[in-house]
Amino acid sequence: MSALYEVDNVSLDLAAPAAGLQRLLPGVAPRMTILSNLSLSVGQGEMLGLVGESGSGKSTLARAMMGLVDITSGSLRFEGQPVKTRSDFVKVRQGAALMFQDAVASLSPRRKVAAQVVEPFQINGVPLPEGPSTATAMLERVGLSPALAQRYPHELSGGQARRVSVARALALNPKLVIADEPTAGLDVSVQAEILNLMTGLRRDLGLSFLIITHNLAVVRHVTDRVAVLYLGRMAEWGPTRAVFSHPYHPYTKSLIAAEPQADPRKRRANLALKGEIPSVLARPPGCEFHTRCPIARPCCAAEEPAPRMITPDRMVRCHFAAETEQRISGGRHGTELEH
Amino acid sequence: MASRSRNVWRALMAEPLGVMGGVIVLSFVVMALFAPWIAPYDPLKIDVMHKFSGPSLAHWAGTDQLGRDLLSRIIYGARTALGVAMTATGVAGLAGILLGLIAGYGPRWLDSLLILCFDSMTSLPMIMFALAVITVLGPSTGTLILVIILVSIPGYARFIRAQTLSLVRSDFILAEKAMNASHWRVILLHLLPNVVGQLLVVLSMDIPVVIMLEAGLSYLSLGVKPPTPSWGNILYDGYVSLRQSPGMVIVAGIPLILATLGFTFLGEALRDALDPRLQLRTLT
Amino acid sequence: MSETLLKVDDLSIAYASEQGALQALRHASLEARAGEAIGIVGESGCGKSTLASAMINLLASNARVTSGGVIFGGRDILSVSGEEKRRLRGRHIAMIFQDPMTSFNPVLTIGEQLVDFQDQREGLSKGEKRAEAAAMLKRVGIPDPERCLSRFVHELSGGMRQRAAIAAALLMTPEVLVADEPTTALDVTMEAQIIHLLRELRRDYNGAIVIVTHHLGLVGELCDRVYVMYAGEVVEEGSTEEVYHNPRHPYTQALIACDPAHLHDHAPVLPTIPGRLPDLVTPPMGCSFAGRCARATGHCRSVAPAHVEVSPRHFARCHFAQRNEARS
Repeated sequence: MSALYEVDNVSLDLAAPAAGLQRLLPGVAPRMTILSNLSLSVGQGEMLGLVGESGSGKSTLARAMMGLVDITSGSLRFEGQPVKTRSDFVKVRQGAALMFQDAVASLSPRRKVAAQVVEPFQINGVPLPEGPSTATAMLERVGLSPALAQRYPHELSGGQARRVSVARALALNPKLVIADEPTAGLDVSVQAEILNLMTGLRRDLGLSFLIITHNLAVVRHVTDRVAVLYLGRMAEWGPTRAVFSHPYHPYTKSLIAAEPQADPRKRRANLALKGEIPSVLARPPGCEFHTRCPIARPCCAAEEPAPRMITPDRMVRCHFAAETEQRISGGRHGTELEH
Repeated sequence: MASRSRNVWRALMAEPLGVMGGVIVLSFVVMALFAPWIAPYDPLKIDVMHKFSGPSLAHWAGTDQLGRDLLSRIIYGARTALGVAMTATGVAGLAGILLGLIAGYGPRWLDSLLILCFDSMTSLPMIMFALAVITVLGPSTGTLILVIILVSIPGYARFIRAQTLSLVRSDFILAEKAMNASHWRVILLHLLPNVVGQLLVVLSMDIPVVIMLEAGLSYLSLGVKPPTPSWGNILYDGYVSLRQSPGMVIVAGIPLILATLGFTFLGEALRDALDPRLQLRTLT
Repeated sequence: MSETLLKVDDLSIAYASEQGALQALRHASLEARAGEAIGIVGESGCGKSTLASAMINLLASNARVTSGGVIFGGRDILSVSGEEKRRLRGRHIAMIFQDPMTSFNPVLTIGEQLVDFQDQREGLSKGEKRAEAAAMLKRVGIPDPERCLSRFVHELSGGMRQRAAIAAALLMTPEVLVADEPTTALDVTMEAQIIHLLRELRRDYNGAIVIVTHHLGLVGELCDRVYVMYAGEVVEEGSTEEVYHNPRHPYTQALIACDPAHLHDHAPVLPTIPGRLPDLVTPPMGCSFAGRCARATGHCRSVAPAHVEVSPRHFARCHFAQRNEARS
């Protein structure tokens, strides 16, 4: 599978909200690191999941990939071409679409659905493929009634708004759709409908998806690969099935353990992860996860773990990945978190 | 847009005070437009024989110190009042939209520069500023309009800027940018329609303020020059001849009060009716 | 069996709308017992929020009770008024909302508000009330309670806010605690922590906890009994164990099947529930789920099913409840 969008060693700093006089002294103003040496690639026709808690930098990465925020260092490549200048991003935005977490808020409040779904054509100077009935055809493609074309965004339900944003994302036949929390705030049956819609589109059109979410159940079922982000750094990535069955990073393990079980017989006695994700303003030294890590040792606070390739398609950044690996290959699945 | 304007209309009609405001405003507009046909007399025609006559069948509102028919002067005064108020707020509103959008959407330095201009403008005492301009240009209706425009622009521009700033960071604007939308498209199709409605409300509520200002400045002999009929001029004449004919002040005061109430009611109802989310709430 | 604290008895509520009376809740009954946690699950429009607001007597102004009531302490709380109503709410029945921001005043510190919430407690000085508040914050797992007391709500993270809201609700030791989507706004890790906290609280608190949510996982982790709602009706009720493992109503079965968390393997096509909610202005005369049910017959469409007891304390509102086989 060849790479469609590659993110290589990307970092993103922002000026921290400076207090008082600090603001007047250039160079002294504190910076906060939102993304740090992040590498990621979405393959052609692949569904990649990006998971992490709020504050892990998932949405920022998506926006950086679309050129909505500037990266500080590193490089981006789309379809093999480097993406740097404004005109590069114009091309990216024609070949990739971004779906926002809040679907209703991502639609212009005073324009009708019909006018909004055809916007990508008008903006990019592409003639409407089906003439005046394009909007209707687009809505039908995502399973919406053409009558919705005459509605305003606030007149749509959560699921309908989500479908409208899928329709708009598909307008220019993009190769990649970046979906930020595509199921957040939806009823379970509607969640399933939206996910089915996306997997169907991938099957029929060969689309690639980058699905950003904190809902592991979503990632588990529809993605091929999953990448786990913690405080702007990649903790682990690999094939979804492998990561879920044998997570190497204690953070991945905790996330999986934290997922509520819709089954009273499988109630967990203890819910793993303590504490909260630290602020980017107070990034812990060494491995940023050591403050919450159940297996942290003194070296974790002192030294940053290097990325380690377990197999050619699995990466983990943890000092004890090798030990975990031994345990897994020895047949004992990591159970230390459950006690 | 049809269904939406219908909704706005329906929401507006559901508000009794709004309907009342609408009726008042409409009658003033009709008065101003058709003054020559409605007014029983020429407002400038002097008839000293009948000065200070109280209300009578011939002169419903009486006559002034020169025997001019007060009702006709009030009706023509509506022309002056609405003409000045609508021109001034209209031009100031347009300029405010333009400058506010530039400040809110444009680069940071331009925003700072414009804010500096607005602030220095607002820091001038308004009356002093008006007096200075009038002294230089001489009192006339044109000068009056100019002064009003100049003093109202900063407020409107700041209002639009604040709204623009909060919209610029919203998801739908980001979504537009993620589709390659140009700055012009973002401004004209997505920012403008979302800020203009609210400004309309502010403008309609400001019209009575401007009517008052025109009357005030004319009263001080700094606005509309006599003998042009203006509510301020009539008020001034009434004040001067308070002893002989106390009724004149009241007659000139009534349209002022009515116009203020009418525009304010209409503005408030318009504000509620234009908010689509508010509309939804009243329907469900 | 422990004592029943709050009882919803045959409650129907309609909202006035332009199209007519929207029957948001139809003949719903439930019981919350001391020391028990019950879950109310269903999707948007099923009436669960209406039911929750009825339980704390916070119905919208256009809502009208058309039958039944909510019995607490031997009285129908929906018919009490004014001061009495305020006293019940907070003192005896407390609520936790989805967005904890709404439970706090943004311009007062958490401490000031937690002291204020105790205004109905007599014989305590301000200092003692503050100490109580700090103890309660500690109890809900806030690491530095004193510092939290002097903060404003926007200075807390989402998880901490929800903990503070829970502390505020528990301060008056209410008999009934109603939580409306308490974890929906939170991340999976914060959600797990709040579930853990509620579970712990349940253990030592002898009141009743009512969880209102669309999230089956939350109920599965936390509740003893579950009420499944659809189109304004309770379509199935029973112990969580029974309902999750032996659902008898086709809607419950479908809901469980399409929850992505329920499936453990890669599933490219997830089950859905085709069709739409019936119009609640003119609810169907037969079973309200008939329009979306694969098993529906002509009988289902014309005759409303009764609440059938399929096993002790497990009810389903379906003509085929006895025959619907357990599936898992």
